[in-house]
Amino acid sequence: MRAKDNPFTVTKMHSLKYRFVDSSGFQSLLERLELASGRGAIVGDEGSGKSTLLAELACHFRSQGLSTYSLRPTDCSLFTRYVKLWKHLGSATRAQCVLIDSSERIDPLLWQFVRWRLRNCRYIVIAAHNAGRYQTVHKTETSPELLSDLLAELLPELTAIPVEPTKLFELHGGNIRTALRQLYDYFSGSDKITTNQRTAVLLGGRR
Amino acid sequence: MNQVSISLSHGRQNYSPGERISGTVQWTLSEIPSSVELRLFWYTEGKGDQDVGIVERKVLSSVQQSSSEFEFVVPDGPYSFSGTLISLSWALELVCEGADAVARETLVVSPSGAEVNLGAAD
Repeated sequence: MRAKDNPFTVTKMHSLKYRFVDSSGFQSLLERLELASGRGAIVGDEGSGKSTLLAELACHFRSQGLSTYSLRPTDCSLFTRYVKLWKHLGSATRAQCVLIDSSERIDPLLWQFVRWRLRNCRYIVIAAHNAGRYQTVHKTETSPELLSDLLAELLPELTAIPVEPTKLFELHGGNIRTALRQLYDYFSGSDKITTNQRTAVLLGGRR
Repeated sequence: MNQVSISLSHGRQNYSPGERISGTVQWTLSEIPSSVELRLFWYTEGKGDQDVGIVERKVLSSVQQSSSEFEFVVPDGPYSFSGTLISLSWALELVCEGADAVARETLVVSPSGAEVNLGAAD
């Protein structure tokens, strides 16, 4: 299958909206953020939708006419991380809203400095694996039902998937991102890319 | 209701570098747009993050209803190609900012006029 025809391209995955358990979820999040003086954390495991939700928050703030800056500390050496973050903070301090993904990559000492530099921002929302740095305003969670819903949106023909969504969810430990990436590999037919024990279990004799 | 469209001359979608892409764009919008722009660009799709390159843009009049002829010269590359991990495609896009209206027409750019198929690595 050609990459552009693959139903699990990153572009298609990014088009998926974050799903709240109830319809008032986004509004409740905003209310909690206001109550926390505009400082909040979105907490959850890898592949549970934190980045997706941060992106939606960025869109919301921009639609309200607020200048918004998204920051994602890179996974590199500590020195390079400091240098890059220093450059970004210059722009971030001028924004009204700052969204920081993968905030655990900012070590504790640097975090204190970041907080101080951004002290005048109206909103600061971070995504993190663990609670603690700011009050948790939303906890992202995944479920087999959520994976099923997303698969139904990306691929209307559910029967084309080589494994039950529940099983797929279990194999990836609830990480929706890696589950969808594995399906990309399956549809691309690139066995050599996905050959590992887990894939063998996943696809075992069903292709 | 917004109506935006791109019509390529002779309905042609496959081009070689150096050739001219011409056609007509039309738009009828429910509100006055802040800008109307026609863009020639390429983009990637696949397992990794998307990459986009805008090659040329034409700023058109920001009116509620109009039509305009256009012409672009196809650059030397990159060629349209597809593999299992990444595809590169070309497109023309008419973007009416402030009116939330977009029309897109996909193109193929390569010396033969056909998408280059990378096939699978052994």
